[in-house]
Order: sequence, then C-alpha cells, then structure tokens
Amino acid sequence: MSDAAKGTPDSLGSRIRRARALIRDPSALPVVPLVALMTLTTLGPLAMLTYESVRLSSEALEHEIEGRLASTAEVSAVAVGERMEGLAHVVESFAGRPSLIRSMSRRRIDRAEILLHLRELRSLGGGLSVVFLTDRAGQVVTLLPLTPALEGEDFSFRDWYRGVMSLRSRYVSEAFEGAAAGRPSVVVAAAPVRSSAQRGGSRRIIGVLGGAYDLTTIKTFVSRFETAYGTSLVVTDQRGVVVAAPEGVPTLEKLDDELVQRALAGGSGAATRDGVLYGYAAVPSIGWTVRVSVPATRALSGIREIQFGVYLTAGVFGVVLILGLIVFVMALRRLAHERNKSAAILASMASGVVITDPYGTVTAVNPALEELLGMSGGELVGRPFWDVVPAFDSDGGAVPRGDRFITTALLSGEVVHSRGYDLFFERRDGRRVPVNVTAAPIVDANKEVMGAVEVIRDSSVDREIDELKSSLVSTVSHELRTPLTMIQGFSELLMKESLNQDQSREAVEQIHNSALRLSRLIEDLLSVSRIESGRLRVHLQQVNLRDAVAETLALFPRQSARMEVQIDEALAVHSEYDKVVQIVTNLVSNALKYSPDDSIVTISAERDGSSVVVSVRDRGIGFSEEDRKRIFQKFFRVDRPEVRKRGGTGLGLYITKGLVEAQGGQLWHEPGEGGGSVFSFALPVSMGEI
Amino acid sequence: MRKLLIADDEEGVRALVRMTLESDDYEILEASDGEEALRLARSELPQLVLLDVTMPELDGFEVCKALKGDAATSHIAVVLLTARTQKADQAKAAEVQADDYFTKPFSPVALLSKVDEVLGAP
Repeated sequence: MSDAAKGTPDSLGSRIRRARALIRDPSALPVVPLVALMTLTTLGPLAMLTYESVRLSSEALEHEIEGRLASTAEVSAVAVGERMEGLAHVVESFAGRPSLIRSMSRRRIDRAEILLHLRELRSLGGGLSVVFLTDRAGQVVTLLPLTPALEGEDFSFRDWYRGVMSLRSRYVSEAFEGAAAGRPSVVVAAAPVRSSAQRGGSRRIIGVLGGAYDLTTIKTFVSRFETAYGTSLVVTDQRGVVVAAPEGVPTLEKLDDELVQRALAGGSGAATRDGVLYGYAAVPSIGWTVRVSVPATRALSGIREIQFGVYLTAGVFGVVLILGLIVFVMALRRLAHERNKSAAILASMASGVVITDPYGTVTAVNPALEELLGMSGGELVGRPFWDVVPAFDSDGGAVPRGDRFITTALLSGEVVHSRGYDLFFERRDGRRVPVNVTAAPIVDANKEVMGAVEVIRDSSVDREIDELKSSLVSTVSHELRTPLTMIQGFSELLMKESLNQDQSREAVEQIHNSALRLSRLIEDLLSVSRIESGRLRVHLQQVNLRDAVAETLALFPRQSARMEVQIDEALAVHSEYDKVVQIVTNLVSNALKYSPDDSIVTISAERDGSSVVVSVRDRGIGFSEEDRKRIFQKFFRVDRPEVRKRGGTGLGLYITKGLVEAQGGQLWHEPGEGGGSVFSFALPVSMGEI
Repeated sequence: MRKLLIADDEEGVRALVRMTLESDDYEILEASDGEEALRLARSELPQLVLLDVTMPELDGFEVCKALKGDAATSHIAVVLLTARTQKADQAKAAEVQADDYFTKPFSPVALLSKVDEVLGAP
C-alpha cells in the first residue's frame, strides 16, 4: 500500500529521444545519405560503363565500316577504271590496224573494209552496243548497227570527239544520250585513227573510232560488286553525272554530292551522313568517281546484338544492385527499430540503469537514473562510474572502488545484489539516496566480459517500510512487555503476601486488566493477519444501526455525555452485527481519545441510494494533508504527543478499514467543518429480513 | 526517609512500583511524563529516580541527561526502566550517564534489591 509520489512523467517520446541520444552506438549511421551515396557510387559507374561501352563499340564499328567502304570504293573504282580503260585499249588497238587506216586513207573510203573491222570490234563482246568510225571532222563514216540516217552526220560536238582530238589519244567519254535507235544512255570509248607514218612527220589523225557502251551494261558490271560487298554503288563520269546507280538515283543526271566532288578532285575516303555511311574514290585515269554507301542501321546491325546484350546485363546488374540496396536499407531500418525498441525499453524502466565498459567507464544511462541522481546523461557518460557516483554505507563511510557492486560484477563475472538497506548513492546536489542495486557482467559469446550493467532502485520507500516494521516489532514488543510487567509484578507481590487487602484487590484488578489488554493486542494482530491473507469471514445479516451503536456507547459509560447519536431507528445495513459494532467502536474510541475532553463526538447515519453512510465526527485537531494520505496504513501512527501517549499499535484504522472492505463497503476520512475529523463508512442498505 | 521518584506513562507500572517500594523507608513520588518527572525531581530532590525510557514528550534518556547535566540534580541516582533490550539502548543509557538500567518485565523483589544496592541499605 505504499504511496510513493511518482512525480510528473515526461512524455515517452522525449524520454526515448533522450535515451537514444544516450545510448551511443559507434556504428550508428545516417540511413538516407548512406543509401544515396551507395546508389550513386554503384549505379552511376554502371550506367556510365554501359553507355560508354555501347558508344565506343558503335564508333569503332562505324570507323571500321567507313574504312571498309573506302577500300570498297577504291577497289570498285579500280575495276571500273580497268574495264573502261580496257575497252578503250581495244578500240585503240583496232584504230591502229593498218588495213583500217588504209581503208580511211584512199580517196574513196572502203566502207566494206571498215565494216569488217567494226563487226569484229563489236563482236568482241564487252557489251559494246554501237561501234562507229568518223572522219577527221567528226562526220560519221559508218556505224554498226547500220543506221544510214546517221551516216554523214556531224558529231564533232560530242565529248568523245573533243576528248580524242584534244588529248590526241584514246579517251573514255562522259555519259550522254546517244543518237542511235532508242536513244540509249551510253559512254563512248574512242581512239584516234592516225595515218601511216610518213617521212619526217607525226602521224596525222584521220578519223575517230569509237564504241558505245550502254550504261546498263556498266550497271550490270557494277551490280556484281554491289552484291559482293553488300553496298550500293554509284558511278559518275568525269562531270559527276551518274553513269550507274541503284534504283532511285537517275542516270544521266549530275549527282550533287560533296563526296563526288572530292572524288572528282582525285580524293578518296569515307564519311557518315544522315544515317548513311559512304565511301568514295576516284577512278584512275578516266576521271570517273565511284561512291559506295550502306545505311548505318544495316551496317551496324551486327552491333545491335552486342548493345542488347550489354544493356540487358547492365539492367540485370542494376536490378540486382537495387534489390541489394533495398535489403540493406531494410536491415538498417531493422537495426534502427531495434535500437529504438531498446531505447524505448530503457526509457520506460522505472529503475535506473547504467551500462559500463569493461573498465567501469559509463557508456549509457537511462532517464530514470538521471532523475535518481539529479545528473544529466552527459555528465555521467564517459567517466568511471565509481568516480561520478560516490557510494556510502549507512554509517556515512565511503565505499571504496574495489567494493562497489559493479566492480565485483566486472571482476568476478557474477551477478551480485545489494542486500538490506546499507547502500547510499550521492546525488549531484549532495543528497544521499538509499538504493538497492543489482550488477551483472555483460558477457559475449566467448565468455569475455564486455562491460557491466547495473540496475539501481531507490529504496527509500522500502527502507521506510522496513523501518516501520522494525519499529512495529519494537512497538509490539513494548506493548507486550508493559502488561506483562504488571502481571508478573503484581502476581509476585501477591505471592509474597506482603500486601494488605486493598492493595491485594488493586493488584488483582491490574493483573486482570493487563491480561485483557494483552488479549486485545493479540486479537488485533490476528485481525491484521486475517485481513491480509483474505481469511476474514463475514456472516451477513440485517443489522439495525441504532442497536449496534447503542452497544458501542455502552462500552464508554464514562463518556456518554460527550456522545451524540443521530440515527433513524429503522435504518439497517446488510452486514455482520459484531463487525459493525467493532467498526463503530474503533472509530468512536479514536474520536474520544484524540479530541478534547469537553468536545462532542457525533455519530450519524443516512441513506444514500443503495447504501447507508455512517459518520463519526470529532472536534479534535484533525490531520495534516500529509498524514491524511497515510492514516489507513498499517502501523502508521501520527507523530503527536497525545497519540504517542496512548501507546497504540497503529493498527486500529487499518483493521477497521479491512473490516469494512471485507463486507463490500468503503471507509474514508474527511476534514470536519470548523476543524476535527469525520470518518465515514458505507455499507449496503438492508430492507427486509434476509 | 528516602524519596523515590517513579516516572512512567503506564499507571499500572507506577502502582506496581509504589506497592513494591512504599514502606517506612521510602516515600514514593509519581510522575506520568518526562516534564513532570523533571519538575518534581528538581523541586523534591529525591535520592533516586526511576525513569521509564518510553515516555511521550520528554523520554527517560532526555530526563536523565538533564538531571545529570544540572549541578543541582546531578547527585541524584538514576535508574532507567526499559522494555527494549537492544544494544543501542544500553549504549545510550551509558551515554546519558544513567547509574543503572533495568529491563521490563521485572521482578519487584529484584527491583527492591536493586534500589537498596544503588542507595545503600537503609
């Protein structure tokens, strides 16, 4: 029934925060910045690696392909050049035939002879569609296939004529639309026909022999390369006019392309433009150009798979990393939660807790200990426990470091408890508080001592109870010895027969009274015992209050003048008669004892719903607020002279309360108006017979 | 005629002592608390004072201390009556310079001989 004042609890939240701050965990890490850092340092490089590897491989491949295209262009250009040159060579060799020359040189041109040669030239293959011979002026002498309309026509405006006449050697012409039937697009390989060597002079050009090469033939030739190299190929003549090209690029039209311009200038190389990779080269000796191309997507398709593979791997890796991070964060959260829980547990304990390292230096404390010692955690943590919290025994002697419980726990590895009420800790403000402690070593899995934990309880209340018990024992012992003294003494005197008659009678009376007194004390102690063990039995009956009170009054005959009764004669309670008498007697006895001899004690009763409230009012000096809280406690006696004089046991009110509550009632105290006390108890009302 | 003062808050104990000691040789004075005991001792100057230690207000120890500390009364023999047998009480009795102590319950015969002893046989 202790009544220790608990003080104002501060909120659990703030106590947890303080406990967390005090439980310093050296591995404590801030979660969010750490996770962000880890994400950046792992996913960042991964993304960079992926991007760079894809980029670099694309670039390398592009570069490779460009190189390939350049050489493709060059190879193709060489082939085209050789083909056309070869053709020109053939024409040239025919143009150098003596019989052809002779047939041109006579006054009358031998057309038949010429046609023979033409036929032979044409049949050589190589794709010549038209072969022809013109005179010096460019007028057609004859041609195959025979086209009489064209014979005698002047073709000196043609590029092949001009080329031959200016270069005075074989020549491959630009592409143009021929005059022959169907107006095919052609290129002409032509060579000058020179007169036979004359004395002392160069040979005069007497005519031009030419063979027309259909562009489609060139195209056919070129397409083989296209297939072989997997590229598109465009061939232009020396003006940049398209000679052969894939569908969609018109022949006989000038191709407006910077690359072609470069090739016309004699350059070769590769470039990437608008998603297409190009290679270009100049055709040696005839001034033509070749341009090859391949769409980037097709060229780089090989890399597509690599890219896909890289992205997939990176993706999987990234997902695994993120999952790993999530698990890590969850683990950290878990750890923080556990720490919070531990902090919460320590914060909510009512006993003080101190945790030290193996050398006794404080590493953590809880809020309850801070309150107990009047010190903040900051003053305690980091210092040796025995220095910062001095201990003393009940004689005021200091407890040396080696005798401290925490020291024993650390050194012996055993759990130790303080016993009794012999230990005091000194607070910051110098006040010494009695404590009970339990110290235990903190042992890791290898049985190494990692520190110690001590639980400290303020034992002030326990000491008080203990002292009360001690004083009870001495009180009871005193209470017992006093009547015993009289019994022993007076009976001894009687036995000596040294007393006269009056004295003898008095002696016997004293013996009797003392015996009764002893008996009452024993009864009281037994009542207390029964109340506490719950063995009090109440036989319920209808108890008329007037009657019960009257019986009480009969016990105090000499004080009847002081007592005033205000009870309705019909009022009855559901209780046990003897107990009601006992209760009222106890209260009335106190009232009479502890109020002035001339003051009135009033006993009243009234109905209150389903109960009856009986009140005993005295006009004594009442109780202080402090004492009021404790008057129903066992052995409690108010420390006042008239109370000490009476030599009671401090059990009266405790027993009375127990009696009332055993019947389902309540007993309480209120200060009386104008001073004094009112003790009231409530019992269930009884209406009819049970 | 020797004067004897008995101070005890229990009326029965006082009656017992009176019955035991009252005779032609001893006059018995009674006090029921420490203050009264001190007052009577100072005014009547008995030869012996029997003091119960557990009296309200001024207990027996304090009365003894006062008597022994006062030159006028320091010659008075003081015997303390105590129901407590703890060593602490015995030490305290010595501290306040009581001449003797007696534990309760006591035999009246023993009390009589104790009184004779302290004061010397009449």
